[in-house]
Amino acid sequence: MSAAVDVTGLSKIFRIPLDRSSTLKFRVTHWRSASRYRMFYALREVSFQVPEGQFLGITGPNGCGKSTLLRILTRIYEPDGGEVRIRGEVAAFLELGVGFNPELTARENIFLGGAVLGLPRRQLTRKVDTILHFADLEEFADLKLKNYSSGMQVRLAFTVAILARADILLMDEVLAVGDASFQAKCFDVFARYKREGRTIILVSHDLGILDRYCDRVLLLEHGHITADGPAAQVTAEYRRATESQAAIEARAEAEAAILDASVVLASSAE
Amino acid sequence: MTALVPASRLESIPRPTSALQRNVNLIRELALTQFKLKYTGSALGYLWSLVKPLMLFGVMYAVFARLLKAGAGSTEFEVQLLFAIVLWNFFTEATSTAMSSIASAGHLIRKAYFPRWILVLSSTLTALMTFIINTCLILVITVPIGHMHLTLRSLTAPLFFIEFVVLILGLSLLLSSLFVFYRDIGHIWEIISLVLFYASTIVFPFVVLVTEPGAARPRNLWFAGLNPIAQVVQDLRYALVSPHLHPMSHYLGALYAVPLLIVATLFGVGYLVFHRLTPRFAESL
Repeated sequence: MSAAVDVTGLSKIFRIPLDRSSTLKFRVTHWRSASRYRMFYALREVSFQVPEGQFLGITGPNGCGKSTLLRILTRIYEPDGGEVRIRGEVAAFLELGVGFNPELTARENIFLGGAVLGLPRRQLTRKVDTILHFADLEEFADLKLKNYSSGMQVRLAFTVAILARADILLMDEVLAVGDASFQAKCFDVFARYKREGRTIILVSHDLGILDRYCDRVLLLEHGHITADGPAAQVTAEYRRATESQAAIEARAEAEAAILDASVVLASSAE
Repeated sequence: MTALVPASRLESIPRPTSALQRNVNLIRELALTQFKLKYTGSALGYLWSLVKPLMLFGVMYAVFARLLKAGAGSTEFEVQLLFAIVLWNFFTEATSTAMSSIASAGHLIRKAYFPRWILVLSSTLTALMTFIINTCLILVITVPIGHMHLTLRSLTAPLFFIEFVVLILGLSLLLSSLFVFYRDIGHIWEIISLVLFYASTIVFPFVVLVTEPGAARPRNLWFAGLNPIAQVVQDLRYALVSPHLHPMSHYLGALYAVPLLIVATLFGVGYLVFHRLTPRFAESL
């Protein structure tokens, strides 16, 4: 099998200014110090390949670089080093309903959100009724989005999102939103994508979901890949690590509490 | 409650393979949306975009044409004035909305990939739509009165208009990308616009600026010739309204290349700066 996504030596550095100001006056008055910044390595020499048809999960603690990685794959960020090669049509969902405008109706938002995903108006026009029916929003087609409940908004956004035909899907915690029945619907679509042999990269904190759907999971910590293997194995490893970390923290806390208590005891004894 | 249709029933849509087709589609959707949002929710709706230039025209007409007799030498100065103000309105509206087009689309830029210049171009198109409707309304009023003189020379008008749009696009690319990093640009551009409004001979005929009573040679030529807006306004006035005016080439001679070069340079600089800063947009917004 050939690689649908090929990432080699990928690095990303964020320059975090020490004195943040976006005015010209500041630049002029602080011209000597204006370029001082701290380097933050979000990704360091990350390399991996995703074979065609694989369902890859990426996980890791907050700030480990997984969202940065996804944004580089979608070309939103430019890497500072390394290379990304992607074979096939990409659809990226960093969030549901990107491009939606609360002042527009559902119908209008289908065209706008669709255009952001690369879907032409002509094709969407033919399917508007099906889309509204699928999202169960036929009665509210001409209601402004701002008057929708968040559940309705998510339903519409999700329906538009799954319209985009692509070989490679990149997703970031899309599942975090919506209720149980909505999540079940997402899983349906995931299962279908998997059957159809599409390549999927899913970034998530939810180890249960990664376990259930992914063929393989990457664990990212401090911008490095620290584990890479079958989903069950990596998630189990990560669970153990976080649990032992939590246990260490819990014990430290307990010891501190005991210390506090003994201090209180000692002071009350005086 | 209707039951949800199973996911498999919703067929996905193949996306056009050419990036151009997708970009054109996105530009159209964004421009139409902006246009719609600008005028919905207000009682007069679209009419507001006509009220503003008309009001400006009224004030400028009263002050310059009536009080100061600015257009005394020209028979249809009212039409010249109205025409120039609608052009100017397009210029300020296009540049000021384009300036914030990147900075105000932070969410879109951080969450989706598409060429960023699409945002600038679509905001220019929104201003263009307003301009076209305004121009049509003016034509409806002025052509029957006989104040538009359309002859063969009028065929040059589209060329000058294209020059004007290229100038606007160049400035928009420059302003929008700089505005992401330096918010002062907003204030600076407001001040520059105010100066340009009077320097571009919109509220008085170009002749007033360059001729001194009794002097044989024109004055202020360098100052006036350096300004492409003045050149476009004068040439369009000549082409569409007043055949008895002199086109800009009459005053500038070989110097006519200067405003054209400025437009080309501004577009080039705008494009390069935008291109250079684009990778930093997503991280800075």
